[in-house]
Amino acid sequence: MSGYRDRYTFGMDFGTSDFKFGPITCGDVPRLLRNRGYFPDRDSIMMRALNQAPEVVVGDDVPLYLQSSEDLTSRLVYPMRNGVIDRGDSKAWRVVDEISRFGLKIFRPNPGGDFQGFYVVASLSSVSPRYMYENLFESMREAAKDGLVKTGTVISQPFAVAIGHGVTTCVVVESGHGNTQVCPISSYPIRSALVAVNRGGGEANSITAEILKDLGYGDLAREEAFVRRVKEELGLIPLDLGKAVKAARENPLKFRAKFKVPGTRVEVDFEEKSWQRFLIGEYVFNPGNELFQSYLTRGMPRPRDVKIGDTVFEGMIDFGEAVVRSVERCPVELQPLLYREILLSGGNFSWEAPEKLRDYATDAPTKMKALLKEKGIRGVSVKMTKNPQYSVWHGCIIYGYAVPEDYRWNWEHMEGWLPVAAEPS
Amino acid sequence: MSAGLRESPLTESGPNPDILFEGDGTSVRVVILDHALWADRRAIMDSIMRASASAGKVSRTYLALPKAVACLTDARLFQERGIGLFTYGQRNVEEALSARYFETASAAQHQLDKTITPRLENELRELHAEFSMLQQTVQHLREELASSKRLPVPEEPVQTFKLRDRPQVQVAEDLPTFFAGNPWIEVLSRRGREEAAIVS
Repeated sequence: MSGYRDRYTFGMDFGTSDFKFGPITCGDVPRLLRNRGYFPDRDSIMMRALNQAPEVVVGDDVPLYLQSSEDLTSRLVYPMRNGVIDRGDSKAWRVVDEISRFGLKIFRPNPGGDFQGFYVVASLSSVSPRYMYENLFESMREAAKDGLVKTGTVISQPFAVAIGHGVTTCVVVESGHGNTQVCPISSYPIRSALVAVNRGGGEANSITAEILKDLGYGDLAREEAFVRRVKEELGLIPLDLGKAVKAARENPLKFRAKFKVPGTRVEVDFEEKSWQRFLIGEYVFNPGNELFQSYLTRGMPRPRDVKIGDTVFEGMIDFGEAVVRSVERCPVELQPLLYREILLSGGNFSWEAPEKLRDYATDAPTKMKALLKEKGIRGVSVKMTKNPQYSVWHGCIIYGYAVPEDYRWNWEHMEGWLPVAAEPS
Repeated sequence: MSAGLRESPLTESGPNPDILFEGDGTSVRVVILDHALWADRRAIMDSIMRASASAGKVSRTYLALPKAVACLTDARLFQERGIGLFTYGQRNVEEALSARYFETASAAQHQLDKTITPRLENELRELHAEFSMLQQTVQHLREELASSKRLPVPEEPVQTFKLRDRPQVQVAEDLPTFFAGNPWIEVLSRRGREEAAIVS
């Protein structure tokens, strides 16, 4: 097992915000780039004069090409914003091509060695339809023509998380900006038991924006980055929403939510409405609570059920229900083993509870346990992954290192190596 | 007593015990020179020293002297130090000089107590609530522990392959730390072999 793949196994994690990539020789931490590409206006006089604008710019050079703010929406493309790229979204696919090739080129060894291309393991959302796999393989084929890829494969992100965390039987709940995937693993990902929820960190941003508007910060609520910051600084997951809101209403000083943006004069203070900080975390885990009705009737976007490819993303089910539904699609004798190891992964589970509010606010694993307990599931172990940011990339590297080279790609299992380099004639 | 004070026991004892009155955040100490000792120079000095030491530590300090001695003392010295004077004879006791009132720690404490008592009561209530919540949490933990013990555990591992037949996977030494002890290396290294074994 030692030799070539000790040096040339390459992992790619296409996250919603960041692209994490690099060969096994990176050690524990891969390179990280914003998962986005910019399409400069090549017809502009300046670009013609400079005669150097590429079709798409990725990586650290993006800020150098940014033009007016009005153009950002159409020219700055985040291909994985919702975890799934439309088949016909040529711009998004162009960014994926460019960013993959960009990453591979950075680590291409100098000529003259034994390098014959990387063993590339890419990771996609578990709800990605088959055409996404096909397009990614096509992208690898193109890179293979430049000698960058020897063989490639694609695995789902929850599977990569389980591998990176070192657990062979578990349920992985991966929650990103756009959606949440619940996937049981028992040596293989159990794809038939996959449950997708059309709710992620973006929904927490939505309710935060509504709360800010109600508090009189309507002008600031339009800035997504600011709203996200407020969510991260002031949002709390309640252990029990009713009790937490009651306690915070009785003693607003103890629960006071106040945040000043460093280096600015901007300050947000929830004052006597500080109880609303609990709504932010609750909405992520359980948007069905009646407290959210007033926001939904006033026009806050409701997380809707959507069908993408063969997968239905449910909008409003709570995360505990999503786990139960997923596990109950597995054989009965496997179910207790799955409940024993529930792994939470992704930025949407990174919540902290202040020490002085520990009786009312909690972290994501404890909240998940509480939701499961409501459904009669006890004795579960819920953990955050060891390295939430890099566990997918770790899984890709281990997969690429360990899977035998002659284990060929199989569309039924969605695993194995697909030779992408041209066969020698 | 007419000022609403009560006599309190003193901690020290000796041949000339003083009297301490307390009440409503105020304390008054009376140092008494026994009539029988008025001619004893040492006893007189001792009384004056005790009164002097007490001044400022209680709200008011008085020195009670027999009338015969009082006429020999210079009241100004006591007035300057805030010590009051009582004179007493066979029939009565008179306040010859009023003692200055000193704001003492106990008086301040009493005032402080008045302001913080409601807060302490609130905190006590919160502690009580938190204690109840902790009790509930412990109860839940006990239930979870009991239920986890009841979970059915398959008698054999889920995997169908035999552990003894597994070839040991050779792993290079200079791999990243997340490789250490990761069971997937062995599981993944058998990909394709298991299906072949089942077919054959």
